[in-house]
Amino acid sequence: MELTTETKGDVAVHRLSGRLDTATSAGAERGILGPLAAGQPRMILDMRDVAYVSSAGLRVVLLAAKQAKAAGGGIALFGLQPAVRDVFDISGFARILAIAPGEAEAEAMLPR
Amino acid sequence: MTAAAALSCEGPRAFEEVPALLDQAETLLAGAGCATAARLQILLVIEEVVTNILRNAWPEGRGPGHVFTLAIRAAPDGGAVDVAIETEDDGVAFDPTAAAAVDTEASLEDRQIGGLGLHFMRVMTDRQIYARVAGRNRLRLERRCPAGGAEDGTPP
Repeated sequence: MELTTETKGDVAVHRLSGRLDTATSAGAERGILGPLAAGQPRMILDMRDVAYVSSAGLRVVLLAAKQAKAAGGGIALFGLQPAVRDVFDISGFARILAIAPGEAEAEAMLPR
Repeated sequence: MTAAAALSCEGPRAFEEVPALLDQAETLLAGAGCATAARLQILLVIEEVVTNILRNAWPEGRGPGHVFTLAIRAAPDGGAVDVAIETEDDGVAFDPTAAAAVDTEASLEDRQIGGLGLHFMRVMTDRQIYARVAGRNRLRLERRCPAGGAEDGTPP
């Protein structure tokens, strides 16, 4: 898994690629929760190049969403591949997370 | 007609070994003609079952002295592929088919972090059979997958 992080205004945009699984979730957790801990609670996850997410990866997304909300911000995802979207649907996460088709829509879903 | 394929091996002993196992399983499932979406779900179930064993089966430490085997079979049958995943381990008795269900309707604040792996196992396979035999956990999972193209999951 690769993770690059950009900052757009006060939003951290994390672009992930590859598998978000047991082997890679610890690195993703550090990369995604780091800016949160540093006081940047609004973030976007670019999922376009993520081919696979397991429960270890979903755990990181849920942790980030909980912490972002508790800190007065939020998280939005975009570009989920169909098979990855299935996993979010089956987990019930699609109901509690902001999921958008594209980056601009994702940004619009973040709380002001 | 695509031939049946099987993989029978020692289970991984460390989390770092799981990706290589998933790569092997993916090659096997793709070769047997499983459609993409179903293939990813089977990989996910394999990851969940294997990591669950690694995490919980041997509280004293998972050394090479322990029994942990894994078998995956994929048998094409008409427009479908019958997949079976079997694990056997000599760890603490644990019936994953009897674990409490996660509440997938909970709100973000109330949503629990754990339990999803077993939820995926139940939802993403058609049949789950567990037995505790001679001090070993035996789990068999079955899933009938649509056959499909290598990339887009549509029928060939």
